[in-house]
Amino acid sequence: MRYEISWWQVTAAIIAVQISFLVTFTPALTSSLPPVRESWLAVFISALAAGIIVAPVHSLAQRFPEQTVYEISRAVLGRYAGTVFNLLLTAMFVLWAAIAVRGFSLFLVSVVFVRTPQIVFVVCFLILALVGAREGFEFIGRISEMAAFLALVGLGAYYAIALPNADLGLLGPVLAEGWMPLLRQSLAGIGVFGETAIVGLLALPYLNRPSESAKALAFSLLLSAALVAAGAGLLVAILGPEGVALSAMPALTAARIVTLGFSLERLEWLLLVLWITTLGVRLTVLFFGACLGVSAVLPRLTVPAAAWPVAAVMLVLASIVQPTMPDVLNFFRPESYLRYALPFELAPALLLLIALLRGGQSTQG
Amino acid sequence: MSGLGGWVGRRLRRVFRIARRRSAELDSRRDEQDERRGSRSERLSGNARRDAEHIRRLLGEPPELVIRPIDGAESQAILVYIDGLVDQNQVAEHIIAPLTREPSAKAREPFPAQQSRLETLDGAASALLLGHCVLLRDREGATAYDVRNWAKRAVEQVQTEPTEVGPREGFTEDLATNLALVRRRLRTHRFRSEQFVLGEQTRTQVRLLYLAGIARNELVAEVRHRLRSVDIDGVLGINHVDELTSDNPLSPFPSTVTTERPDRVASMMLEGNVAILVDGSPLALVMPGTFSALLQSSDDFHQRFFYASFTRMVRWISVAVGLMAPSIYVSLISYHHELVPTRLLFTIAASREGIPFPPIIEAVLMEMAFEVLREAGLRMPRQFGQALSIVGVLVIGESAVRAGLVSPLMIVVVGMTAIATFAIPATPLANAIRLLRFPMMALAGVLGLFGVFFGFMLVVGLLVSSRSYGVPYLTPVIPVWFKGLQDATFRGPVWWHQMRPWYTARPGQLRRQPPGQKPQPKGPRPGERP
Repeated sequence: MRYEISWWQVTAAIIAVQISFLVTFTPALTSSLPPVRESWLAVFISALAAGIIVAPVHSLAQRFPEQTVYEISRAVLGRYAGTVFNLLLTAMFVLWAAIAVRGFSLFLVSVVFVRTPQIVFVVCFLILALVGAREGFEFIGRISEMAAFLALVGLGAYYAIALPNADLGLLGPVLAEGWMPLLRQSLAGIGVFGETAIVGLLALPYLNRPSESAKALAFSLLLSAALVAAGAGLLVAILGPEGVALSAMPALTAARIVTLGFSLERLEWLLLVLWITTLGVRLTVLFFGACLGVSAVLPRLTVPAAAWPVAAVMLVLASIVQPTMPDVLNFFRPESYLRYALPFELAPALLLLIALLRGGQSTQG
Repeated sequence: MSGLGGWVGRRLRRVFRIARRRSAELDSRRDEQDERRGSRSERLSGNARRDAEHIRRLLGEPPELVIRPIDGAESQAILVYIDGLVDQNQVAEHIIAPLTREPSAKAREPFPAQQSRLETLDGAASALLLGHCVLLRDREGATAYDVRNWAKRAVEQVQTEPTEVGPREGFTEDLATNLALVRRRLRTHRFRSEQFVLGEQTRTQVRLLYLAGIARNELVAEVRHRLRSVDIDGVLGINHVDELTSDNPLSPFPSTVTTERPDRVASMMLEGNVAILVDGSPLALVMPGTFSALLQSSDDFHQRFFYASFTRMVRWISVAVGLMAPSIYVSLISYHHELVPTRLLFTIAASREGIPFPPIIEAVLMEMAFEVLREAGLRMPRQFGQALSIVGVLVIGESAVRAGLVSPLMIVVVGMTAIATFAIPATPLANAIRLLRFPMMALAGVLGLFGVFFGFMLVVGLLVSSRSYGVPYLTPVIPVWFKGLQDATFRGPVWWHQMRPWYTARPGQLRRQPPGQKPQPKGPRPGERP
């Protein structure tokens, strides 16, 4: 059964998925290479570059309306190659989701709940993902609306409270070291914003007005970039370039020192709320992608039925992948992240290229 | 070999298919015959005495059944009714008197307001049980006259949805009275009332109300379909209908608005909602019942929009407090001391000194004590109510703290939570929040803030996936409908409400009023020349 979602729900899903990163790793990604103080500018360059990765998704959605990526791949690559492609894509979804859960649960186990087994948090997130994926993308679109609203309001409040603690003079001078270091700095951010392509790929077949796909993708990219840029600039202005470069999770570090008068201090809870909420959406989207893939490879399994084996695999994978916190942090290092993310995010571009070369068209009337 | 096996299998399948079809045909023919035979035997014979005897036997020969031959009538006539269900004065003046005193045969017709011809014994019995009186006449058949007048409560002030400035009259247990209370507020030719009889044994009368041309046809058809599909032996109240027609039978959240206010029903029908009245119930069901509709109160429309909007926001906050306040408190105290501002942390630490229980046990104990008191308050005779509140205040508020069993701050949190749930206007919604508070506290006790937000996400997930008669439960908040927010999260001024909700009103009838209704008094403004 196909559900319908609005362009705003697609936007909300993309924002929620990216904000789950913004809260923790994005500032580290965009700011750990010198010159740190221009990381807010690097974010915009990353978003612009990511636009090149995202554009093929729009073209695919227009060329193959109402078809999921797994249907498109079979139409473009043929039965066997399409199945292999679908298997690889499904594996990527499972792996990406497992890494997301692993990162968060390791953080909780090492910082807050030191005596709680990590599998408890993995199971909790899997329950959320199971519920979401079984209900379909209409549900994901709606829950994303709530998550994106919370993220926008929460981050807005965080920025507003943090602003009096910031020294904006630390952001200058702009482009003192020229363009090349800035461009190098922006490379890692492409991986973050490139995720727009993955969410768009899953969401656009369900869009109620397919002509609005470009609007949804562009708006979400712009809004995410604005939020990340504001966050990156603010963190540099609060912690200083050196502080940001040294911190693994600068947003959480800054939340510890931000205060408003005597009554409001230590805002980690706000970021944790945003992290849990948006990570729930991120995981649900990735989980849904994996279930859809399994259902495409094994047509007898419906998406809700496929959710159980996917959950079992993810439970195992989330317990063994990235065994320690340094491994997780290494994964999100600017030098390595783009290398891992790009093959996943370039899948739509690859499909479009082959479709153009082979002259493939929609198999649906 | 396999070819032979396949042939045999095909033949066998065909034989079975034919046998099944024949059997089904025979069954349906037998059913039809039974039905015909049954209806023949149930038909009235046209002999008044014999029919009266049949009715008496059909009803189990009850002593309150009155069978009275009418002496002055031209042909043999027998009046049958159940004592206590009919108005004796009406029977005497409007039925017996015309039949016995009028000189001309033509004028010898009873004249109550409503009458209907009866064909079958079952119909006659049903009419008698509804409070009609049945006149059986030889060769002329039977007629039922509506002279019902059983003991009923007068229209009184509403009990569960009190209002500060709005109208005070509420529904009663009498369907006709309730119908009149709604009709009085909607004097339009569009008003439609469809009758259903539910319950094999109770034969409960149910009315489906809507405004034709304003309510969405699909919605009316859906409600009608669900009512028709009810097949149960008894419907004793509005909750039976609600549970038998709900979209989310396993959800703790109500999917309809339950109200005892006719003004609320009328106001929602104007928006395109559909209402159900059940005989014997002082409540009405209004559908679809979205989450935001459940947070609206009758007072909202009888007060200035600034204050009404403020109180609506207070109710939304009350839902959050009612659901999460104790669990957040438990998680902060148990796991996340570092997130509490330093000064507050010292205060909390001082108040918890010497308390033997961990915060989760303390919270569960206090919440349970409050629930027990609330339940006892509901069930106890009114004259003991005051004593109960004194005991409650002393036990919960005073002695428990002095004995060092709970901290004063926990009393504040539990008290605040209880008051917050009372601020929710819809009792079923408040009950759902009250119920979900306990698993939330358990999650907070086990997993801290992570558990609270995990629980919150599950609750939101449940709400997002729910529907009420096909309408997303959180509409217009999720999926967001910006024009609808003016009547969901806050209450915009009346002149601003130009549109009816898309999910209740017909597409062509979305416009409630033309734009430009904002009052702009004519004449010179202060400081202007006339």
